[in-house]
Amino acid sequence: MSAERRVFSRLMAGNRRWLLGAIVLAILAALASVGLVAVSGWFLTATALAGLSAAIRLEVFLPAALIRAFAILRTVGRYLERLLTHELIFRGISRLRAGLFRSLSNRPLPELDALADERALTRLVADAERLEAHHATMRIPLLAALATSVALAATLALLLDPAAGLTVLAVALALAWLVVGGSRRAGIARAADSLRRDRGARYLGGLLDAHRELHHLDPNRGLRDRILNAFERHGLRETGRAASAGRMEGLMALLVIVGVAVLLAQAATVPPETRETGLAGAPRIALGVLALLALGAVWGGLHEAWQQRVVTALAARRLDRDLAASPGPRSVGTVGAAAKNTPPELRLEAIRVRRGLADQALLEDIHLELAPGAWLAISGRSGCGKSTLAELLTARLIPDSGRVLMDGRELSELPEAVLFRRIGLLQQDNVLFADTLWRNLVVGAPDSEPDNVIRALEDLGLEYLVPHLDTWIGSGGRQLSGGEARRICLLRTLLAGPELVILDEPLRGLDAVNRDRVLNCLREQLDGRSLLWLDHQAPDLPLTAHWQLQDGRLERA
Amino acid sequence: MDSATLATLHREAAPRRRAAMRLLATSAPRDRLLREIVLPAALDSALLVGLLGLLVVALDRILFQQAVFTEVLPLLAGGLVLAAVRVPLRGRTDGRARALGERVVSRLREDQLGRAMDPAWRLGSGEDSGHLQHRIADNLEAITPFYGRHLPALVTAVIQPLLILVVVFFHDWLAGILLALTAPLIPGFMALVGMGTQVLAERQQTALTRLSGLFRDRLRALSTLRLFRAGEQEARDLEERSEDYRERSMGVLRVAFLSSAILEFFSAVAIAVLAVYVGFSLLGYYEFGPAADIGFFSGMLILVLAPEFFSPLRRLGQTWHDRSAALAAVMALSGEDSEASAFASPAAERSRPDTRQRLEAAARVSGQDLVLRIGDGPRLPVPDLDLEPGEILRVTGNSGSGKSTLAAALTGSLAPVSGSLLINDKPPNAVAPECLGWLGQDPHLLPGSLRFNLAPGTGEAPEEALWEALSRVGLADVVRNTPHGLDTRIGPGRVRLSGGEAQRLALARVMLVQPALLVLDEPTASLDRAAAHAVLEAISPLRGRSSLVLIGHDPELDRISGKRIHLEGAPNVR
Repeated sequence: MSAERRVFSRLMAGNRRWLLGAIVLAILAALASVGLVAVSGWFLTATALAGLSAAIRLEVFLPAALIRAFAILRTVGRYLERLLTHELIFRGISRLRAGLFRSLSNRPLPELDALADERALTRLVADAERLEAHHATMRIPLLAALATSVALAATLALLLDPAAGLTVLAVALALAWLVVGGSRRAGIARAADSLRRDRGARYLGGLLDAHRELHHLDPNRGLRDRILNAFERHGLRETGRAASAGRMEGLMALLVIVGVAVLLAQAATVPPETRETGLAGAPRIALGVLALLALGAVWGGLHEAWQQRVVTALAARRLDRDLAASPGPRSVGTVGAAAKNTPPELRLEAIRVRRGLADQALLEDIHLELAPGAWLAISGRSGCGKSTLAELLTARLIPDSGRVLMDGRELSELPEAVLFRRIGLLQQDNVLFADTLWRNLVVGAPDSEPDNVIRALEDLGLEYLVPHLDTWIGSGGRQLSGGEARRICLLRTLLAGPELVILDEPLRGLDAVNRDRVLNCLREQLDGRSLLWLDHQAPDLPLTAHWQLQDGRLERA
Repeated sequence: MDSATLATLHREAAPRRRAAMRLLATSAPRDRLLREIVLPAALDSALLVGLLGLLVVALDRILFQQAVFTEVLPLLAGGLVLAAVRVPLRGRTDGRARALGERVVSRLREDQLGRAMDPAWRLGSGEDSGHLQHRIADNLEAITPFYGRHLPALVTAVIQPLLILVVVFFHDWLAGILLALTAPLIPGFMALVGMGTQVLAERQQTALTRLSGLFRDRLRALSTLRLFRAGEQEARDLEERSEDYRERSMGVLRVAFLSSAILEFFSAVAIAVLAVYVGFSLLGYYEFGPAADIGFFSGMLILVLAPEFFSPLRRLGQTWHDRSAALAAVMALSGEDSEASAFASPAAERSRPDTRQRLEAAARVSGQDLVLRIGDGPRLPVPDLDLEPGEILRVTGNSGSGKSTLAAALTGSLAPVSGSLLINDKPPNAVAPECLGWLGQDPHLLPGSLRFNLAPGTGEAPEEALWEALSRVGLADVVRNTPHGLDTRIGPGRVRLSGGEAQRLALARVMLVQPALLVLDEPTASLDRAAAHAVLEAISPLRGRSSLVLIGHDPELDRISGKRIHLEGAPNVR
């Protein structure tokens, strides 16, 4: 199965009935809109005939009722079709996004760093959106147009003659070819261009980061002009594509007119003597002509929608890669029932982490032992490798050489659920989720007692946030100060209840009063647990040992 | 968000939306709009009416006058020619309309980028580059379809129904009145479409945006979530929330889609009513007004034109989200600024680089009674300073005492509140920017080769000069040992430099320019001791050739001697 089919079948699994319903309704609505105009044409011609000749008796009730019925069916059909396709889109969203999230959360941790890039995130979300709209904007309308065309061809073959049916079929096939085939070439060019544009946008990000340096280094604004020119070239190509897409739409309209002209020519070439007379003659020809004109409207706009085809296919291929479940050697696993309560013993053996082109290694032959219950501080200046140590101890980084062991077992072999139940990490940056304050606090321990959480908030000087536990924070919510966010992240780590707590610059952004509060809280909360403190200085805590990290090596302070 | 809140938000944004609309409407030259959109659209509609007329004449002749092929051939050929003319016309109109949009956007992009690359503006606005990047690269692009798709659809939606109405009136004024009545006057109809689709589009967009925002937020935080073993739980939560959003959005959409259903209803009913009216007239049931003498040709023409009366309105409804997206983009541009400034060019207001003073040798810097302030921030006094050409000034102070603010003032990005700051007796912003240099804590290198990064502005510099600069910062041997030498590409997915290497490369870059004054703002703050030493060694040879201001409290910086000032910060702050 191709990557694309795989993704789409995943997207639609469980939603087949909705898909079927949307397709049926779309076909019904298209049939009704063609039928409305066609029957009107028939009716008008028949009445004209009846008006001219008393010999023709016309039953007016049925056609007039049919016209009204088609008018209502078209309105209701379109309305319901739109509702159903949106239902489908929303259902696709929850399946696809949750699936993506699951598969990404089974990836090895070091691979997740790629998601920290803003553009990679944008790409992923845009890809998902493209796929979700695929059925609604491309597949269903095309199917409806095809089905209506075939129905019309069959009707005309029966009512008029097979040649008329063939004409409609030929027009429909040509239209389908223009939509699917003609949009393909433009689509490929557009896809290639959108990659180029993405590169341009990334490059722009680099320029914006470097604006202060470039203000002095590039006084003639050469780099800025270069990127503006690139965007402008992209605009020119888009303009060319818009013109050719317009021509394509025009060509489709022309095809319909050609079909109408052929139908009329076919009728005109029948010698007048042998033409059908009465209701079997002229009204049916008028029906054919008007139906074909109305069919043109059903096909209109499809070419433009199908230009997204190639881009969507590429998105599907990328998402297929993201969706591919790759638990790898580090399965996430589940927590065993026999949870240990003594803190783990951690050992770093002969760790080496390189960096840069030829710089001295960041960590060189590091040996460290963290006994159960020990409180250890490692201090050193920024950039000396403290955060790298934290990454090593949470299996986020694989050392260039050496081993990280927990209770004698290599860290990278342990299931993540076991590892992170026992080891908690306060990262250097405050990562809060867009959610309520309560959920942010208890993300690692959903069953926390509210009383405990409130008491801990009070200990940290955040008692004024207690009434706001249900307030939305993070992006789009209440903005927290750096110091508030820091203490919430710390509390979150402590509440999760790990036996070993690693704190990376825990006092960042805190004033003296709050520093003392944090230290007091830690003294109480960390009783019986292990602590690894990483900061510029050692804290005022009863430490088991204090090491200094400098020039890639650990020394006792 | 419930519909009442949304409606309120919608109302509150109305004045800003109107202003944005005005800007969009006035940004394209009027004569080009007329020449490239309005006239072709009118021509296209006329061609359509003409070709349908020819086809109906042919149909009339075949059905009622027993015409043979040769008799209708000229009519059919004429119809085909008119239809064929519409093909390039449509291509031309779509291309020109798009080009118009690209022109407007490219002007906006130039202004926005010019502003975003100006350190003075960035200092004042405090916007981060991720945000700006998104705005310049992605947001602006939402404006093009307004000109490329929406405007032509709007123009056609005005012209084509009017033209058809005139033709129908000419043939049968009663049918004309019927048509005009079913479409309750075009302006009213358009307002209906507009309001309906706009509210609909906004509601749906808000729901989707919130959902996407949540998805994005969780993906960004995924590694943190995994630290708390919450991956699976969040996936389930995401599913539940999408379901919840689906149910609520569908509730809104069920009502919102009704507005477009009304359009559908009118157009279907109009066709039905016209068919029945014309048919019964032909049968002789109606004998009043024009109904008595309507013929097949007139009746059929009216019936064929009726769907084309409504189809531009439908197309307009489909392009309505282009309009909303463009309005949103323009409103995001103006943001906190006044409306007009989004479209004004700040670049043009500043003095041009060539009028600024060029300095050939190390600069003399003096500051007296200097007080600095960023925006509404605290007023930061700076002790008097006096730096002879080629000297080194060391600036220390606690965080928040104004060290980086002083750096901004020295490089011409910030004018003092009071007092004087002079470089060779000129204010810093009157000095050519290439004669000043700045290097911060984290150097910003661009994705590309080392060669490009060493001389990003000039593009090409002599090979020896590059090696010379590299050897002065102690990187020459390192680069020589890489397989591609100066053509080694750095950046994401390529060779990664360590923090110290990157900082030394940035220093080499500055040395190639040899600025008269170089401001180094905490150049070693995020480096370990060895890397900091290497950077300081690379700074030393600059002594004498450039005047140096060395900012930061890293004790390693004490290894370089010079004059010192200490910033105390704002007097009322701790």
